Amino acid sequence: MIHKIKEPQLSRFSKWLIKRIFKDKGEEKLGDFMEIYSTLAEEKGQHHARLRFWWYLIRSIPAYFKDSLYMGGTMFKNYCKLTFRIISRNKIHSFINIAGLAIGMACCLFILIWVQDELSYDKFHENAPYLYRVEENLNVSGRVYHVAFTPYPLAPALKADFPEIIEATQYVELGQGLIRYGEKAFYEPGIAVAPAFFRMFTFPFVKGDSRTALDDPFSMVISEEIAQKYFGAEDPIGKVFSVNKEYDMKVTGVMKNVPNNSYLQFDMVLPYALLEKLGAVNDSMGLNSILTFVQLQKGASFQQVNEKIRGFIKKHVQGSGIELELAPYSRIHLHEYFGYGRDMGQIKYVYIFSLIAFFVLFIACTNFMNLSTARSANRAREVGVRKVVGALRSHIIRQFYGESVIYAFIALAFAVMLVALLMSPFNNLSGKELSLDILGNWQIILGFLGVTLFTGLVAGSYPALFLSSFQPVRVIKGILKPGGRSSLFRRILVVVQFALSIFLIIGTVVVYKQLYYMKNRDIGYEKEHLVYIQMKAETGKFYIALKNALVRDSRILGVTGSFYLPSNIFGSSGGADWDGKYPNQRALISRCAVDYDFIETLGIELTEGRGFSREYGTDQTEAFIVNEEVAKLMRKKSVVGERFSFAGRDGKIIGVMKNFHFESFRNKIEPLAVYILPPAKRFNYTLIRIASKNISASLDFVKETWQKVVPDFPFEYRFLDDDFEYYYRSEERMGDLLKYFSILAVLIACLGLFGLASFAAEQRTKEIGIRKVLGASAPQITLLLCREFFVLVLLANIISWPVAYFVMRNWLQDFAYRTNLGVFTFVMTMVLALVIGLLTVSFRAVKAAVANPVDALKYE
Amino acid sequence: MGMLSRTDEMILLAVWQLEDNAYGVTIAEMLTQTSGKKWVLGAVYVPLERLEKKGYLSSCLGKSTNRRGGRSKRLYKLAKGSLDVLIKTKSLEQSLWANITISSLEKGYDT
Repeated sequence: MIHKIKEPQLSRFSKWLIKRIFKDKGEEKLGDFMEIYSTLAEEKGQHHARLRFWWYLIRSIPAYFKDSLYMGGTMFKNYCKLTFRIISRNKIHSFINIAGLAIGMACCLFILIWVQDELSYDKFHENAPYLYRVEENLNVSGRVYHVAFTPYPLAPALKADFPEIIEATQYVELGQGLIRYGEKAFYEPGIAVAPAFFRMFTFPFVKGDSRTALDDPFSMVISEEIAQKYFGAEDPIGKVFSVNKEYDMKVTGVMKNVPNNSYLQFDMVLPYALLEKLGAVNDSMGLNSILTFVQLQKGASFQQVNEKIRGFIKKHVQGSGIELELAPYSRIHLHEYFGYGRDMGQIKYVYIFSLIAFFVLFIACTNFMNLSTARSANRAREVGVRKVVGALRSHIIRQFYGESVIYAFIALAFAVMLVALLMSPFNNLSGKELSLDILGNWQIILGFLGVTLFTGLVAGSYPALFLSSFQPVRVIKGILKPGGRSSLFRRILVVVQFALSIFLIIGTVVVYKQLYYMKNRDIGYEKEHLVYIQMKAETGKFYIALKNALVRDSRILGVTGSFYLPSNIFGSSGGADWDGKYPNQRALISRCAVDYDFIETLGIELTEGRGFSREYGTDQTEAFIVNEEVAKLMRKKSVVGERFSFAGRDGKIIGVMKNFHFESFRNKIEPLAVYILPPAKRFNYTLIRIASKNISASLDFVKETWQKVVPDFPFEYRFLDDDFEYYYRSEERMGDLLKYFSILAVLIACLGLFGLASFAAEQRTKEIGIRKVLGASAPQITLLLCREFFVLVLLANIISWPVAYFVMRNWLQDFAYRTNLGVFTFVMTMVLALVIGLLTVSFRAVKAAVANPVDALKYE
Repeated sequence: MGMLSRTDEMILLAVWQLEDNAYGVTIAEMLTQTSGKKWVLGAVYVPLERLEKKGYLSSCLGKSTNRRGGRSKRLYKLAKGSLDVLIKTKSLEQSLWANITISSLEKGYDT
């Protein structure tokens, strides 16, 4: 029975697949498959046939490829074999090639890990995109100061007024408190937050309920680390801490340790309600004291809310110059401009180091290309033979790409080993706790493989595209000589990588110069032999007793108290007033409450007037000592005796201090006024100047005195000048990193130069032989070989100078007090580069020069 | 001319036997029948194309049918050279097997 059969209904996808895979131009194969389908349909029916057909098609694919793969596989094996033969034939070249690539890649991987860590900051919160920090713009006499501190009652007020703000919390850093449980007592820093905190920031809990943990004013949440420290294996929930020997707090929650890539770092969380109970908060909307975080509703426009809350403070406080602004929380770590007393990994460094990674990788790739190009003459004959035997250009291209990708993957293996070996020095350098565990992250793995493939392809592209274009006849006849364009190209590559290395060296030198400059600059008082004790918890009330007990001893040269450390005075106020002030002149003046003897103990020079003295009864409430900047602000010849109203007291100026640095060298010295601490307040720091002789005995005496006067509280002290190291840490880190990068870059550039030099020496073996036979001396030959590279390195210097000049001048602009770049830096770098370059080349050149000419000429 | 591989031999013989109707589907069917192993289309295309390239086979486009969705068949024929090589293969095989019977192989070595 014959009936009309419909055209087989193959899906468009299977048609496409068949055409694609079987390279079916005339559709005859598609026809075959359709016939198969029709047969299946006749036997089993349409529905069944569809499934069967798919099964058939899928089985057809590997069968088709098995055969073509076999041929491909043979060639692949041949390429691999060849690659390894080439590696072992030219051991030095291969070593240079692979080592250079491996070092460059290791560098790049380190930076990749670092960048990945930087970018991962604060992204782990579920609500991360909706979290914002409220910040303030203070308008003071036309200058806008941007601060992150906000008033205590701001959080609940914002939440009540703006429906878009669905959660809000205060964030108070409490300083260190004495935490005691049984026998164990330590100073621990803590924070105080509203219960909303753990709903907004999803720090995971191990025990307890994060939603209700802080509901009770006497509850607290601790990290696993603290739990381990105080309770060991015991269950911390329900345990009671004694805080500052004053109140008892019950542990209601244990959270996982705050990860390193969190901007907020804390181990102990107390409820904000506790501060309210203790009266430690201020209801004024005009102060800026604590941090405020808010969570916006999903879909709420950040810009609109930002616009709405801008004038919020002005509404509450008449005549206030404060405007509010939202800062996206997950961007704070990278983008924060002014810092918040912490070590900031700014986005700038992410860019700089990404750029450096790219540079180093580029240099390594350049090297590879350079060496491959240099050896193109040797390989050219191989290419010629391959072409004659029937290889297409695409085959040659594939071969060279494949080869360089194999190299790259060998280099990757070495690079990963290097990274694993150097992980802990790298952590010291970067101040992070990174590990290869990060390899578990698929993005990093993809990154690693991507970098490798990229390196292999970029590095292989020149030989692949250039060598494959050789005409076999010319090559085999031996007409093709390396030279001309390819030689120019090699020279350009050498110049580029030396220029990059020189740029990095200049950068390193300038950063260290600036560090040296900062460290050795006179800060304006004697910072040596100055010990300070931070008056933590409740110890401030023992200050007077401590001072009285200490000053009796002859080893103690002076004792004074201060509200801030003299190296880091960060309190400031506007609203100073004096006679002759312009009516609309607003001045932001830094301030610090101090004790008598402050000027004498620190050794600050007075240019005018006197220090504080108990002989004048009025000093306690009226006296100010200002620095030269304030005097400048007041525009008077002599300011001593002038009326000065500031920081809530009406008084007069009794002395003028020579300017001293009370902040980082990044900042200009600002106006500063010091005054005697009001009786109701306590000092945060006791500063003790000890005799320079027999320091440990003096310290022992201070410790004994402390234990007598302040029992129960542990004794902790520091030297003020030790702290200065800390202030330069970010510059120091940058300097260290740059130093290592430039060493690496120079190393890689030298490897490249060496490879090139040995190629040149090999190319000119016969020439050198003839020259020697005709009477040239070894030094003459060496000079001959070195001359070319001398010119190249010189050229590299000239190229990188202007770039380095502009970049480093720009970097120095960040510092109010800075060193100059100096011609010497540039000249010295040039000499260094020349010496390194010449040493590298002459190493090979001398070998060529002293070789016996007979060896070179015996084949002629 | 060199020797044929077993696959090539099977395909050439199938094309010869199919006479005017040797194209993908019928060749795959024939091979499945004679070898007792399932041959899919994918498995015959590569050797077919290779043999054509080497000059053992020639091909032309044939009729189309409805069952093929209107696509024409690619019909294969043995080229002159392949007949020679098949003869050579056959005679070699015969001389190789001349004194050997299957039953003697089945018996194995006498011990």
